Amino acid sequence: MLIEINNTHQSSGLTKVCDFAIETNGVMIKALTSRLYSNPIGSIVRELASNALDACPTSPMEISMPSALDPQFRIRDYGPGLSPQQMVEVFTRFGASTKRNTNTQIGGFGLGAKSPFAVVNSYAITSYHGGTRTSYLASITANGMPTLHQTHSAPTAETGLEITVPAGDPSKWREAIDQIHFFEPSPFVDGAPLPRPEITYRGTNFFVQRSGKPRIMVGPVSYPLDQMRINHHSVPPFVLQFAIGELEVTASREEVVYSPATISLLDTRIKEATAEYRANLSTILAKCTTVPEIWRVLEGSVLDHNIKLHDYDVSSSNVYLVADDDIFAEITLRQQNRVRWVPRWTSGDHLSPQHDVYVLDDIRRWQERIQFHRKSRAPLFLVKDPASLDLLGIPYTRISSIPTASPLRRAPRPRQLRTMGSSNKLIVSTGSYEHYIEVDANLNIKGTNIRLTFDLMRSIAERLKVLGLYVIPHNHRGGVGNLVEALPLWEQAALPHLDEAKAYFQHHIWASYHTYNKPFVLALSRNGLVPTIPRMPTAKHLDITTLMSDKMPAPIDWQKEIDDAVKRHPLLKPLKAASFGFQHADELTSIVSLIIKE
Amino acid sequence: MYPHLITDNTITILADDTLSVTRDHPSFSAILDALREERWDDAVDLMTPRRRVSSFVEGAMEIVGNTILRGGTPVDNAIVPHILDLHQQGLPVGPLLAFLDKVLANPSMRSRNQLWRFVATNKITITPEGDLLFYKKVKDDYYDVHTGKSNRYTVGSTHSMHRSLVDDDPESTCSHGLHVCSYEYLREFGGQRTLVCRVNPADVVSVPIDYHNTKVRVCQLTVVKEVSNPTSPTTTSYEECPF
Repeated sequence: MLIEINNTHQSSGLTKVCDFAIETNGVMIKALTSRLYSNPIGSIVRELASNALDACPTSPMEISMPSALDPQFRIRDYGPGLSPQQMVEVFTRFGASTKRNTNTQIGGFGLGAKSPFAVVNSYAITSYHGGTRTSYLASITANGMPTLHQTHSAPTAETGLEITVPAGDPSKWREAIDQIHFFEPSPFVDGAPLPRPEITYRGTNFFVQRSGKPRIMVGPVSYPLDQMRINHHSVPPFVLQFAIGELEVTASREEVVYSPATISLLDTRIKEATAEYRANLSTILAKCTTVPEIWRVLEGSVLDHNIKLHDYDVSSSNVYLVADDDIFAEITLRQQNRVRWVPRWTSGDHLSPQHDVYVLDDIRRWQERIQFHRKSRAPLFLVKDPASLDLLGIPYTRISSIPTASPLRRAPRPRQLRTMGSSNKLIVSTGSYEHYIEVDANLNIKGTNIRLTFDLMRSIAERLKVLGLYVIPHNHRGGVGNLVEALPLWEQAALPHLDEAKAYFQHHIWASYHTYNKPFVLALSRNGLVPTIPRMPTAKHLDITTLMSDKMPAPIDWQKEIDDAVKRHPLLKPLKAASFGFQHADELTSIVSLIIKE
Repeated sequence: MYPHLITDNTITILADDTLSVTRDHPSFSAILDALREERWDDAVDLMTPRRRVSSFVEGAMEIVGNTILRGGTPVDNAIVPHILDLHQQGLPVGPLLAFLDKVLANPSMRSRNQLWRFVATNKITITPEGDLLFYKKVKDDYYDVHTGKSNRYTVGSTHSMHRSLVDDDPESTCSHGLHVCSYEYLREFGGQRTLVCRVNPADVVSVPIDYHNTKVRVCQLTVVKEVSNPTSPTTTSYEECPF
């Protein structure tokens, strides 16, 4: 890293006393090692790896992470190694660097090689140089001053440098490896190339990680982006790329120096990156063919950061996706031009045969296909690969095997019929929507939220007709859901018999009204169609399922029903006696009053 | 003799390879003693866990790099201290292998990872069949503490529930499942009687993150015995264990 010191210093009339100097003592050494870094282990990994990369940018360095089996951090590069003279210069001189005049190398402060002293009091170095393998031990002596010991040397054909640092808790070291993820060539860690974070998009001077926090990359080293310092909140997980020297970094190299110039540069670059990413997002999403792919693009990057998604309908609540054979993700999506996304990871073993499990092999029309197919309103699981389900013995349905059906053209088969409390509302649940059908005092049927139930209602009407019952739409001018749309056909089903229907029901309604001073209301109860007045003699239980079934019900002889009822109920006798053929209300009233007098 | 260096927080021995440990290494003081008493080979042995592990498992497991494999499947390094413990006491390897096979038979990777987290932070006791022993507290009438009526944990009884009903989310710190715990959690566990329960590692579902990974939710357990004075296990082996 090119570090230029070129201060203006003109003096006149001043008498120089002395130049300042830095005294070499244990306290100073401590200030430059353990007190320099806020994250010492992270610094050791970053510094030693940066040195290894500088030493050999062509072949990958090898890192052995500490573990319970070998509690040491080892890093080996295959550069030229260091001669005994160079060893002394690099390892025993704080502030000595050979990289200060160039921007092709990361180092420059002359501190990195000594960074292990931030954690431990000794570490070992083996240099393979000029046909000799020489081992050294660097240690802090009793007075706090570091010393370099040469231990032994032997002939070798290899070149390079190996540093071994004794390590405590292995997990802290594993966390630290994040910083060198983007090193090129990829370091070999424990025998395998270091896996890189998945990159969902590569733009000009930035890329987007699948997840994680935004970072700044200076050369190959990545630093966290401190969003508070740049007055940007919720920056997507961009990695903004800068050349070495383009941004100033602190001597600990733990972060960039947030100078006004840096802040302004970062601000510009974030805005550019966001604009570019947003512009390309729909192109990226259009290439996705499965929900898991969409998930991969969006997770952590877009949805958490409120980048608007145009024309992308992934909306459904309580949908579970399987992103992996073993890991399920629950997503809650609400779409209103903006998608909110609440992922929650969970393993698949809480899936049970009671759940609706589908193999997601039709991304385009999956919602339409499963809408009326689901058994329940329980959480829905969409699974990419059925192999794990086979293993768990969980039954599933392939979405592509479900016929598509436009809900407006084909009425759903009702999944569930129930009444709401004690009211006269019938709730038809189709699995996705609930529809209310209300029968009022005039036996008018009201519907609410009956968007998809027109065919259903027609089918009910047909069955009511066979039963000798007729339905009259509540309000022809609409106002209740989409009933208006349904009316023409609805009336066709009901109106030919409208007069008869009116006459028939008026008879009962009037009679009951005057008898009990309450309207006769045909209510739909759990057990069937019953009047809400419990003692109504003509009460006839109709099983609701007969109205909803595919088969036409057997007709009911209502005259016989009424005759039987009259036999059972003395109050109706006069009605019978007064003959059962009247058409007019006033006639009815007089008869009823006759009954009451009795 | 090997050249070596002892500092406040490190020991380095330059044997064939550079061996170094920090002060928080479990054998730090033992290594120090060995060096002071000039038992060079013992010191080197203590500093190379890999060698001790491989001599103990004798081909039943494979060590590739820093990974231990059982039948080709990687086993978490959390098991290493327990292997070293068994090795140190000259105990047989069989129970450990049975334990690992049962862990690997656990159908959920998530549960396995949580179990390893438990193994890493707790003293464990492995029975000869490879099962784990846990503690559990119950009411005075042996009914469970939570409901007081659903399960009666008499000695010898086995209790199970469908795995899918046990909450596998470690973030849900109090949830559905049969609960057992390590010695450290006992004082947090309400109830009058303390039981020792045997659990097949394959039946472990989750280890909630609270209380420092000391509580475990399982889908099946068998009550082994009741203890009046629970103690912390001192060794991994069932034979040597005080309970």
